[in-house]
Amino acid sequence: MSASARRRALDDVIELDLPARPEYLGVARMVVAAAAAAEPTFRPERIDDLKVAVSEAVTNAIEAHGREGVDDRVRLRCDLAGDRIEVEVVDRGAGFDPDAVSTAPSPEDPSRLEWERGMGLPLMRTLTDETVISSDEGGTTVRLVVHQTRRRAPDEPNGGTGDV
Amino acid sequence: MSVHGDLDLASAPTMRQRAARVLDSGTTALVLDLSGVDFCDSAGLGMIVAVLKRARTRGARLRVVCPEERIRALFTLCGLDAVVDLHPDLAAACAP
Repeated sequence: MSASARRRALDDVIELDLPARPEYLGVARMVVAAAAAAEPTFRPERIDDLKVAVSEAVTNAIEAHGREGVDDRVRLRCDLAGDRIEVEVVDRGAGFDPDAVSTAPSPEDPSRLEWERGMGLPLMRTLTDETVISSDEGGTTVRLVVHQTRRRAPDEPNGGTGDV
Repeated sequence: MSVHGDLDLASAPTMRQRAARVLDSGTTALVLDLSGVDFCDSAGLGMIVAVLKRARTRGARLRVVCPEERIRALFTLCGLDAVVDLHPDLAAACAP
């Protein structure tokens, strides 16, 4: 990599430490949306998908800190690389096993209404091109990759799985 | 009941309480108008599921107005379009 290419790569990274409180969710969404909009060819609907996915990841991070009474901030790292944007959400919660998370039953199931939660992870996986979750007892990192145009059909399974 | 702004973990608990108060007062039909919502994530959808559950417990009917295609798509992705009574505008929601 040439010096100028390396400089450009670093120039396009945004890092932000957010207080782990719900009122900062809007800031997280605004930052990633603005970063993605810096690349004019990014389609508005992909930016919308990214905003929802980031909101889900930061919500989980805030809740993970809340459960453990952790005062640390949640780190948001945003890397715009030409045709794609990569966002990392890092928390210092107790970690979880993404494969063990139950998802909501089908709409026909009468118990569907018992499920107010369990929609965040499936939404992240559906709306991004790649969702990779690395989690251990020291915290969780969620990496979300969104391309300018969707690479997968919305109902196609996502390649990114847990890496616990 | 009109909902405005962003529907996420920051605002959903308040909305849920507002709707619960309306339902607990004996209302038999509640329309949740999301026309003014700019953003919604799963915390917002979860709030709507909670309100629907409470409405059913109280014997009330819940209708949701959601003109924004982008937000409606989230209901579909979560399989909630089959559970929640969604309408494109207030007139459709209020039709008998």
